[in-house]
Amino acid sequence: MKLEYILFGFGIIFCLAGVGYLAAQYVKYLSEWGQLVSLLLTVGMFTCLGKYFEGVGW
Amino acid sequence: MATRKTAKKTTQRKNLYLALTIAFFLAIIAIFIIDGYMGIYDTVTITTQEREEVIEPDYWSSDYPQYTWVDEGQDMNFRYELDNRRFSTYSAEAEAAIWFGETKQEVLLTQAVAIGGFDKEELSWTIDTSALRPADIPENQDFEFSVVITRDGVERRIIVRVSSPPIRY
Repeated sequence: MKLEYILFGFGIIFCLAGVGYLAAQYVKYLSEWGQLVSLLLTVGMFTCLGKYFEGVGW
Repeated sequence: MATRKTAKKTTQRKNLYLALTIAFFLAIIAIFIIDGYMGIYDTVTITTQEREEVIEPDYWSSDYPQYTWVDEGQDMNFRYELDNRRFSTYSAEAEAAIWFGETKQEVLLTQAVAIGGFDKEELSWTIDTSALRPADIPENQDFEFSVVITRDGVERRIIVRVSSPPIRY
């Protein structure tokens, strides 16, 4: 059971690293407006995710 | 009864936050695709002597001019690739010219392009650097000129430094 959680943890880290790498590669092709809106959406996304986990009881 | 109502409200709010998270994530992906990937991208490949230089589309957004160099007398082969990452056809009049400062010296190429959606087109031309030296620059002095590519209001400028041949005694 613990091993499964460790593997899930690794999976999540690799996914986030992959998405982060792709975002870092592609963000230079975005216009300034695109970058600004993406930043605001990212902040909104993490806020909502935090509120969701708060609701779940984490 | 009131507890069940409150629990339902809490679950609804939880689901709303999850839905908003997913919506924001999808919006970010959409921005990356529409604003980041789609559009018209141009790449210049310069081949001269024994080397090849590729000027990628993201180089153009840099504040610094694009520089390259060549020994006098060598040919420079330019390949200009237009990548239409849009659904519609891209039509424009493309022109490549040699400029010395603010003076247009020679038009190398003028071509109308019509590129279909998610298609590419390549234009190419060659510059013979042996016939470019301005009359007021001595034989043993290096000089520069610009290759300016224009299309549809977009200008790409590449500065070329021409090294003069060494003096033989």
